[in-house]
Amino acid sequence: MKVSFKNTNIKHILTFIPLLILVITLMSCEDVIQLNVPKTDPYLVVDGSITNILGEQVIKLTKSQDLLDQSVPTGIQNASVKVTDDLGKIYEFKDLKNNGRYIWKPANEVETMGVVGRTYSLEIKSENEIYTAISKLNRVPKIDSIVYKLDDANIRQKGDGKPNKGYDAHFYAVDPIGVGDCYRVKVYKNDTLRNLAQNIVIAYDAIGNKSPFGDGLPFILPLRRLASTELFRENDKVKVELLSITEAHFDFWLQLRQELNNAGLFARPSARIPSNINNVNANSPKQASGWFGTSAISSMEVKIDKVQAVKEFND
Amino acid sequence: MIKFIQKSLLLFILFPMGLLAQNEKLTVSGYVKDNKNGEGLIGASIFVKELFTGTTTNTYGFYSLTLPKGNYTLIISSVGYRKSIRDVKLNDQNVTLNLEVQEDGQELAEVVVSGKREDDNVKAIEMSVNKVDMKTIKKIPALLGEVDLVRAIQLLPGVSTVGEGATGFNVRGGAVDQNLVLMDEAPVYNSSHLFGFFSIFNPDAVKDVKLIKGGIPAQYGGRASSILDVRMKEGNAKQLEINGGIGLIFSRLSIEAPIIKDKASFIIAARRSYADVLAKPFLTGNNANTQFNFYDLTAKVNYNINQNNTVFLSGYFGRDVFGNDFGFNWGNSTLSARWNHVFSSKLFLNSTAFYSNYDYLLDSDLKNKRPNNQFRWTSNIRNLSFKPDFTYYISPNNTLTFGGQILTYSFTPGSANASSNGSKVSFGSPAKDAVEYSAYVGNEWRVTPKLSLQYGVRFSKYDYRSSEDVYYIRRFVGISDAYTSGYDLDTKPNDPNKILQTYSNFEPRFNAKLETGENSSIKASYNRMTQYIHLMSNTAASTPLDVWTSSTNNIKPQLTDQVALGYFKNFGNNDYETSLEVYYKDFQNQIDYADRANLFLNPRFEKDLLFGKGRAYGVELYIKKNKGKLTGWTSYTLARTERQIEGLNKGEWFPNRFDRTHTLNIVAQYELNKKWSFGANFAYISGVPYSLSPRQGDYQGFTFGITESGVRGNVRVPAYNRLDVSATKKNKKALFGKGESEWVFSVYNLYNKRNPFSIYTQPVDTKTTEVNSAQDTYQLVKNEAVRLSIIGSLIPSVTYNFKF
Repeated sequence: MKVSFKNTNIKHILTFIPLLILVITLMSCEDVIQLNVPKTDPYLVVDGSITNILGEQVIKLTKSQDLLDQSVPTGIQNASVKVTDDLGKIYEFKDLKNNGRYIWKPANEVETMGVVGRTYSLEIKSENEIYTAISKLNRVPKIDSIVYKLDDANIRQKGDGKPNKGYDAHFYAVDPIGVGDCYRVKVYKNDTLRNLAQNIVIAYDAIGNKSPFGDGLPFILPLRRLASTELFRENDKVKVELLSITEAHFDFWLQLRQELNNAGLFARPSARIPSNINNVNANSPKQASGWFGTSAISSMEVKIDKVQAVKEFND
Repeated sequence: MIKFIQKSLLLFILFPMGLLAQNEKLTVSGYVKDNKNGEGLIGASIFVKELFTGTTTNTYGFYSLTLPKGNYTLIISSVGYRKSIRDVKLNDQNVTLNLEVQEDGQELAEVVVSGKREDDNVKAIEMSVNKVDMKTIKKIPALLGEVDLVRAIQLLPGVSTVGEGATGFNVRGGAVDQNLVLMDEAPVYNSSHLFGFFSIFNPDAVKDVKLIKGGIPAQYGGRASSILDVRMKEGNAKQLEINGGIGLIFSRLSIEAPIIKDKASFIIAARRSYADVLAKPFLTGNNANTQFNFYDLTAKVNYNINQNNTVFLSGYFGRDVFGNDFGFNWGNSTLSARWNHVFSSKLFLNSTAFYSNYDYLLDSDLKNKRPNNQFRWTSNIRNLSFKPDFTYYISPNNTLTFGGQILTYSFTPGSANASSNGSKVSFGSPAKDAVEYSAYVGNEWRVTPKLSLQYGVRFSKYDYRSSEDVYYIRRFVGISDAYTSGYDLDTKPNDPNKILQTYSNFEPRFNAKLETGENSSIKASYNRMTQYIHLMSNTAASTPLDVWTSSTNNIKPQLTDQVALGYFKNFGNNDYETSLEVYYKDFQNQIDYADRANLFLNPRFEKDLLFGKGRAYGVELYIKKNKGKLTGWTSYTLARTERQIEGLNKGEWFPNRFDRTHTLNIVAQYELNKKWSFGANFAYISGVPYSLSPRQGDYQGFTFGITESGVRGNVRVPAYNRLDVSATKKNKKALFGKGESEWVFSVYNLYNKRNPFSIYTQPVDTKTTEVNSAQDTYQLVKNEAVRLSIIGSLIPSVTYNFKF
């Protein structure tokens, strides 16, 4: 199953097909090259999410780099970071280790920061600039089950170190009624997040593109497939996290994924990835990028057991 | 005042007719055909020795000459044919004279090169026109040995592509959708197999190819930049003929034969790729049933009912098929029926009725294994048309053409059906339809032996309807991340039965030729072209999934105005022909796309469009050697094509994504002896623009580019150069001791150059750094710059061709 609703997946198909042909003719090739890239003034890059999970919350601030810089981005220190909810409660974030990771710690063992339905406003003061962002924490449905079956790897599931035979897994959950719920699906194998460009899975209601037709449905294929890039082995721990995101955050992920996969014969002109971080002074050369998000999270974890495997998915 | 202008215009058009219709005159008319296979000859010259005047045959091989009473000697000539001389007596009645001419044969020593029409370059009124005969195309070294018409025309001045493997071609700074590609008068919407690697035309079925880049006559319309007029063979009317070839990609077979000798004949030509057949042993498991092939079928019959009536029926069906459990396929089909009728010896009619369809299908579950979990997406554009074209041969110095066309369009931009666990939904863009009416009149007038004029006007009207119960109006809201184009759509109720929008346009056309010496001339032209349909494409190369869309209340028809001026000179008894042309082209209502434009299955795609204007200008130099053992050409183009779009690059002019400054092509063919011949071509082409982000940031382990919105073409791909060579060995006998055959050996990209198609950044999944981010510990993936070469090595090939 290679086709999905996602428009960006069209490109997956298109890159897959010449690949098939070119494997035969061995015509095409990619070479890593050196490019002279211009020096740039750094922007502020925000990577932070408020969740409804118990415990501390983190907002990470880093400096942007020149294109193709291979170093780890440096954290921004000495910034003032605070989040205010729509009831007026203020949450202070502190750079406890002086590395640009600004952390809010709960006052006690039961205090949870994120609440479904609340709206959160971020304010960052750094190097004489003020940046703001706003995001609403949306609902998320519970995950009903994870089902798996033994299968041969398909062309996308094959590769170095990947099993040729293993367990294909699906999760089942139903999008609640009401158009416009957006989600990100994260898959963990043995506690490690699968976090490559091809693992970015986002949903608009139960489907991959923004249209009213996925409302209230079970998450469709391939969104519900957890093994789209690699099959699981016996005794692997498979965990799925379903995170609610805002529609604007969905657009951010959609474009981020598009830009990461933007290559080849059918590449699009590189486009701006949206950002909800705004410099109050729109004319300042120090603008911002990244995203301040808010998510409710539901998750489920299973250990692959051949006795529990199904013969066929109940599709 | 208007009446006066109309009257004078009419007078201007009719004046030459009146002037020359006075003396008593008689007409000699008929068809000129190849004596070996009965194919009508296009553009053959019929020269009246006594009067030092003449004419040429039209696209069906018909000619008509109206002369004062008397006895004349006609000299019939055409490049590649022996000159033939016929006497004709025009004493008391019109004469029908059908002529058959003989091919020059391959024996070099005996070549009797005919005289007159070889100076076409200088003497014909048309400019910015390139004709390449199939014989020449077949000798050009080709990728994987596949003779390819579209790749061959890319070697001509003023023609380029966005890169190797890209679908379509760009003419004088025009986009790929601005070329009207006609196959026996029916438009073809996608001229490529396997994206842009091979064209859809079977070389064994093609008779004649003509590319018109400027000075486009009034009989053509509907696209903004060029006409590629491809005529298929009629089929051997004398005897059975079988052509075929076995190459690395395709196998070809064509059969042509008379049905009634000299009266009716047919041709059937088929090709199929067999990469999948060859790959079969290597495909296992889930991929065992993977299909990937492309094929096409061309068929044509003609029946010469009598001297005054000939009918033709031709069809094309081609498809690219990829699939396994999922399926993806696309293709063109056309059907055209034509009727040639000679009303009187002076009035010729060709009526064409055609059907053309381009469609594609994406299916998640081709074998219907999971009916409750499927996704199926189709899209098509369909035409039905009727088009009569009249030619009135007033005198050798004066020809009037007039006609019209009704062209209906039906658009299904994209419709999808999906089911998930049994819940079914349908969505996509609702169907649209349109009718394009046009009428034209044109006159070619030889004012003096040195000065000729061709002028005309085309009028077109376009009625657009939407089957949707709403329509949209664009409203400016300002550019933001939510509105990348700066526009939102307001929704208004729509009556699907009513015409939603009408456009009409006058398209004046003009050509002039002035001979400045025995072997030189100056030509000038102007044309306006209107284009009512548009290909929605925001990728580097256009994809088979790109959607043809109608002009709507929001999308205005594209208009181009082009002026061109050229100097044409032949040397050494027409051994060499040269031309130097300059052009300037102005484009209105050009379409571009905002960041994150969503063009697929989106009824509100007009929100994501941007509009503006364009300009293109350039110099084209062409030197061609026609005779001798060494033949070929050199073409050089210095050009610029730019656009200015609201919302992109701050509203400043920027180069089009297919802008190439220098394009140099050298094509050479050498006939060593009867057995061996060699070919070579060399290309040097400047790189196209592309865009790169200046900055990068890290978000949850992903390194992403940070760029401002609406930035296009801030960097250029390095220049491209390539050399291809080929050798052909002719055998006296084909496989079974009959007919003839040849081996063609070729090497594409001889010096193994990795020419860049594009440059981009991409994540390096294998080199990651562990980083603590907001919630988790992440592997930070950095990016590297990658140069993509579509063809990254030299490609040798061998092809075997046969003919019985």
